[in-house]
Amino acid sequence: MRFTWTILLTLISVNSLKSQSHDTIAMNTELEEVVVVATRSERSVYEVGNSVQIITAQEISRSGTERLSDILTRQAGIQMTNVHGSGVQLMGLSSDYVMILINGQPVSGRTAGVLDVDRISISNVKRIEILRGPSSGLYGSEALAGVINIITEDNADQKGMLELQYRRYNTTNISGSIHHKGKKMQWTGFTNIYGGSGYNLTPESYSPTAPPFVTGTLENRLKYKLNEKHTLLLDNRSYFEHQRNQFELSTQELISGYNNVLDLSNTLSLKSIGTDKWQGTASLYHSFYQNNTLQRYDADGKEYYEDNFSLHFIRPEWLGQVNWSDQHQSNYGVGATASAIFSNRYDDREVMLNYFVFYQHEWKIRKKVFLTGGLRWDGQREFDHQLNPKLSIVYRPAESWTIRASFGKGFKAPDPRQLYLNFSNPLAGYVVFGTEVLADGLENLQISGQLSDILVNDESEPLQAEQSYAINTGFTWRPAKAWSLESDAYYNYVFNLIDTRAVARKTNNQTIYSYYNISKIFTTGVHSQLQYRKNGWLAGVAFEYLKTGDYSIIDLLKAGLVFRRNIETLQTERVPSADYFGLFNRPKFSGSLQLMYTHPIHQWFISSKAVFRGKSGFADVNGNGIPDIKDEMAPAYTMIYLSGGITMLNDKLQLSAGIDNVTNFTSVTFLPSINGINPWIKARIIF
Amino acid sequence: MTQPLLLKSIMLCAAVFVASSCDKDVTPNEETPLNMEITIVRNLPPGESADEATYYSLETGMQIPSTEANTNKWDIAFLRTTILINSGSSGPGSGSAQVISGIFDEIITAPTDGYAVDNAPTSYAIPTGSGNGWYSYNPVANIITPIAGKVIILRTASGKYAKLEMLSYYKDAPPTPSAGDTSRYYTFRYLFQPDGSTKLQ
Repeated sequence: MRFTWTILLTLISVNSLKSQSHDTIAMNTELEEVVVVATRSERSVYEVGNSVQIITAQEISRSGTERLSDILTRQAGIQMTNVHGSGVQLMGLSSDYVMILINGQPVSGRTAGVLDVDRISISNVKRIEILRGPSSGLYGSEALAGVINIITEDNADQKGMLELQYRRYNTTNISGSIHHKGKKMQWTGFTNIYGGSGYNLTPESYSPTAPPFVTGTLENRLKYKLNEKHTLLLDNRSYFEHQRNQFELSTQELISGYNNVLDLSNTLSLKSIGTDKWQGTASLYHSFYQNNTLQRYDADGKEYYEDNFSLHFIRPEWLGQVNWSDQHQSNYGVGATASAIFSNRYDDREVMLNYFVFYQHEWKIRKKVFLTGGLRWDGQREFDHQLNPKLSIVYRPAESWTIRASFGKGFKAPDPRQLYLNFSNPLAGYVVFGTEVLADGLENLQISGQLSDILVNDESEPLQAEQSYAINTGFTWRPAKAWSLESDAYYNYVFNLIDTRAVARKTNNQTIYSYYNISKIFTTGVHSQLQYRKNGWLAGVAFEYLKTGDYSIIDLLKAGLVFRRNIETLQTERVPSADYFGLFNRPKFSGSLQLMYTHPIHQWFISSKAVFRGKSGFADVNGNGIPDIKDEMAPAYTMIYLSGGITMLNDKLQLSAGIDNVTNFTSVTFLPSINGINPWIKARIIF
Repeated sequence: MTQPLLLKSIMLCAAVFVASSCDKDVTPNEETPLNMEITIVRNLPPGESADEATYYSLETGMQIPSTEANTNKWDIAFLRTTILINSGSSGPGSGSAQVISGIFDEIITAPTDGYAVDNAPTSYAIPTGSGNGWYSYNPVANIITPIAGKVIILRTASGKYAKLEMLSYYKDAPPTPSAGDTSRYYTFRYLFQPDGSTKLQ
């Protein structure tokens, strides 16, 4: 047990910090941390059956991070992916399976399954809750790996704030917020402008590594108290992004174009408090997402590439809460969602409908045992209905010990593109059909004489949702006020994973692909964290071990049917099972080390953090589709962050500065999103 | 880019080297023992025109001029990514072939059934298209890669058994080809059984 040793060793090393002993000052006293994401109502983290990590406003502010992706990339065990935007990989499960919520409402608009979290400004965030473990029993599709809930600041005791930040590559972040508190009405407005000139890590190349961009965010939260029992809430969020890009085709032809993203969401809800016994919220949520790309030849202005995608999402929903007694509480919900999707790669505008109902019961037994059971039903026309249970138990034998375990099932509905895509690559000539349009597509090719032969027997197999079973178990130990040790182990079994398969061949010898439920994978690991907080000091060590794999590949390896071409002799050799590194882009080890000091009286701080990520499979080189040799691995690396700041004018002005990536690490091939040493300065005014 | 190094033991028994595209004569190596040795053919060049195949005799270890395409003299031919067998629509020979999964050295007996003949343009003994036969195509990098663990078992024009593994589609067989490498230069290894038995060892 290698990781047990690591924990032990770090325990000893961090222990030496314990030399100073004074009473904990108010600022560093850890309040009983409360989370919403786990049960859809406020709960102490110690009553929740899954690991919930909290990132506080202070951590965000002091780290100098501007976007959700920037703060998540500094957490051990969270891997950011950089294809189709910044995706969050949780417990080795990709962005497709991680639900992102802002104040409890989902962020929609994914490209090839990836939800780009660069879209989310975190300047006004109160806390981020990261729930690990399947939560489809509460949230439905997408919450298969976990849920990240962002809670924005609505502190009506302040008037507002203004924040200015500048970093390398002319990256500028301007944020402002206003709070208003009246007798009946409470309003919070927030705006953010974020942009930069991009960068080029390969100056000899015509196209920049990251092109210039500008984004804007506007948020409003209005709370209006109608009477003692009823409150009206209106939330809206608008986001716009514009990026210009240019590149060179191999034939010296220059292409330039742009990419625009628009993301709007509105929630209108009415919260009713009946008696002490029950309360409920009726809400109507709407979101609109649009992504347009247009590229033209510089020479004659002719169109080279165009891609338009838009999505409307509407969800009426009723969420209720019943307090049966001190020991029993229930949450339930019922609702429907309608999504209308338009894309120039689909034949028509597609509409998808979903209905759901869930029930969750919590049972508190003598403040020592917390049992939670939940069940959610999701119905949809395109695939079989889904029933997702969740069961968890928390046992607190003493104040200092929390032991938790949970079992859950998760699912992910097929993506619209997997159902409706009708795409033929004009350059390479291959064709991809979604499962719902495959039969028609093949028929059309047959009629026009372009179909050579069909490779599968049943080409119209309906696509099923991707599903998972997972077990999570862990503990938190707080032997003293200053110390906390947390460790969680998990195992996810995901089956019916959707992948492409060749279904037919065209007369031009090119292949026609469609989507099928093919593989089954697992991800398992341990996440541990040790923290020490006292006298203004914060020291923390976090560590994650992750093992992943595809069961069908493991079976083939065992049968000796996986081969590779020796890149020196070019001859085929058999791949030993031990050489299989698991799924691509999953480091087996990651960890972080953090040290921060805050002056108890003057409130200045200095902070440092190092984040390590072990080697991971990058791309297949030897033709067997799996990472199994050194040339296929992205190397391990460490990022170091330093920052410091002062507080002046009665806490009204905060000035801070820092250096990200102190060692000036770059790796153009493997990590083009890392752009070298990156200093920043920031001023925050609170009024 | 480093030249691929072939295992020494194979170098010793290698019979044929096609030196370059200019030198199309195939010279059998004098030191080659009589039979049952693995032959490596390197840089077998494309045909003169884009639609002309390169014909090759496994039995003699010689390239055969395309003017003799209608004879029994050749066993296998290469036209871009399509491999032809002297059979059916491709030639008058009594050849046939199949692709099986495994390691070249471990296949010591040719299967007795499962062979197919060329039936252009509908089907070929060696299936065409990415991932179907001997190669996979990466549309992003525009690269043809022989699939590891695919061995072609074939009957020659005269009906004798042989096994063959494709090694590269690019000139000088670079270990990691790039789009700039010259394609249609075939590197492969094979073992021919002259006595007509299915023994391939």
